[in-house]
Amino acid sequence: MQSITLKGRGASKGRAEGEALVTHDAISFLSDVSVTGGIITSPQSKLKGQSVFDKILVFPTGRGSTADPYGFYMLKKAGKAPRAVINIEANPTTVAGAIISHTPMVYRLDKNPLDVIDTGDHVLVDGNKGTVIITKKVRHNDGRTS
Amino acid sequence: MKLTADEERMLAGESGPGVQRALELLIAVGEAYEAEKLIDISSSHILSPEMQFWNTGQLSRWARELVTESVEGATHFKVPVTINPIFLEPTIAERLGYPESYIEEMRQSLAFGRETYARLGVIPTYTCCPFYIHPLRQGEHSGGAESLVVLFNNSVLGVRVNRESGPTALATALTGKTPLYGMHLPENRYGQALVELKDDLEPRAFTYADYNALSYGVGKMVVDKIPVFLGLPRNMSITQLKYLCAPLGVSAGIPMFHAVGITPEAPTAEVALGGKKPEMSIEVGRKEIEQTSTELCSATDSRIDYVFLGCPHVTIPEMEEIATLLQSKKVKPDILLIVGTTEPLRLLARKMGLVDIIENSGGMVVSGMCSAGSFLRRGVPQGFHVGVVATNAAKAAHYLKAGGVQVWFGTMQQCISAAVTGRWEDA
Repeated sequence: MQSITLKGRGASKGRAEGEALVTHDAISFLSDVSVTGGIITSPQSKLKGQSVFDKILVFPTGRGSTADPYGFYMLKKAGKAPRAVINIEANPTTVAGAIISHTPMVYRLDKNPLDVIDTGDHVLVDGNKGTVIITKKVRHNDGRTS
Repeated sequence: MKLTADEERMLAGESGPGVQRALELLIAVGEAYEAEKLIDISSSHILSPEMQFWNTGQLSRWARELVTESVEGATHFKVPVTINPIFLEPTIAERLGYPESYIEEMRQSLAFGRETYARLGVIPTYTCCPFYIHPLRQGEHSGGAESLVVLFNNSVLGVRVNRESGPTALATALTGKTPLYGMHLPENRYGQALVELKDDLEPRAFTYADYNALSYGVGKMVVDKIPVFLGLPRNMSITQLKYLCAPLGVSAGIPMFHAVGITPEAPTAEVALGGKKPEMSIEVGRKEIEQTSTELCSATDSRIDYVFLGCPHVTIPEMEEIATLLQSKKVKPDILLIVGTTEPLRLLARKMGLVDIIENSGGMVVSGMCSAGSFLRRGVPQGFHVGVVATNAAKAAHYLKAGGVQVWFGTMQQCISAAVTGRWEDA
């Protein structure tokens, strides 16, 4: 199966792989996600009600301020954190959150991850090298022409 | 990023795993901002997740684990470090009749925090106004968090400091370093939005509430642009200035503003703007200030349960004003009037007889606690009543309103009067 490799910058070390969950919303781990449940709570998000748990979470950038990194840490402690984070640009609160919760994070990739990665794709994130390897989800032919 | 020899040693773990992780964190954040190096700082201001945000329950235990991990092996902060207030003072929790088990948990979390930071040599200010105690000079590079401290330091004192997050603030204290980006570079400190006051305003007659509303409203309009205020009195007091600073920290994401004639880098509007044209111009008049004041209120019930003064912590002149307003009056027995400040100022106010006046009238002067009333939106034990709050602070009103609490915003006189009569009256 064909895989796509993107190169960028690692913000937080470590390697993780899993299923991608892609959102086009900026995320605050304190106000947009329930810190003990891992459920996206932000009313304006299309993913409201979905869980970030065990996912490779792909979103444009973080939002939030002083206390946001603690939200990421609490999520990890609650066992509800994503396995890794991929951003277009890194908000420092997300960087700090990923580091203190020992979660790999990469950003500033050579292609826009929101264009290349779809929810359900298998993704390997290497925070040490700053790389992402994507294996596209096999889309079953449902009989309709696209 | 280019590192110095001492930074390489910290990164190699020579000062222990806590300092090592702190440096890794600062480097990663610096790289996100394209910082070419770390710089030495002369001070930092930290906040404590286990004392300021989560002091009971599982989240508090996790916060303590994080702090334990973050300071592992560290023996002393590298620079003078001040600290933000705690979330809720146990004496207030007792007065509110919170369960003993709940208060005991709070005490444990507070004891952990106080010991941890004392061991590292913190200056135990427990205030959002460390500049009352450990003021910094123009041009000093500082580290740390708390938007008010950052805004006051950059805008009033001319200190160079970024709005950092809680974990990076602690990292700057442990390493004495911060990445070179943002407010540390002169070219990023120029104003971008011009703020003019309309003729129907008389700034010399502004109440503290007016300054609060001006600041909050302007923050909403500029969002992420550094405002340049024209027409503010050059002899503004520290008390007035802290009220101009604090609301901008919650209604905008900015680390700095210029007040022409007050900010050291703003002798004129031209200098403040760096010789460039402003990216936006706004005018604020009486109508805008009144609109903002109304927006900050979420209450419909005029019966008051709590009155909070001291967001940011009160100065001695403010304490005198409060005592004068309360002289020979009584706070309604079921109302909690909290005046928040920092311990050294409380001691002085006690010596001056001001604390006695406030206490004799039924109010409480509390030191070291956040007087934004945040505990009412996060951390009220189950079954306890979250009441109606009155405050003269836009920052407090913002947080309480966001947390679904009924809040009245107005002048100090209105707040004191509400504490005495039990009812909020429009001015």
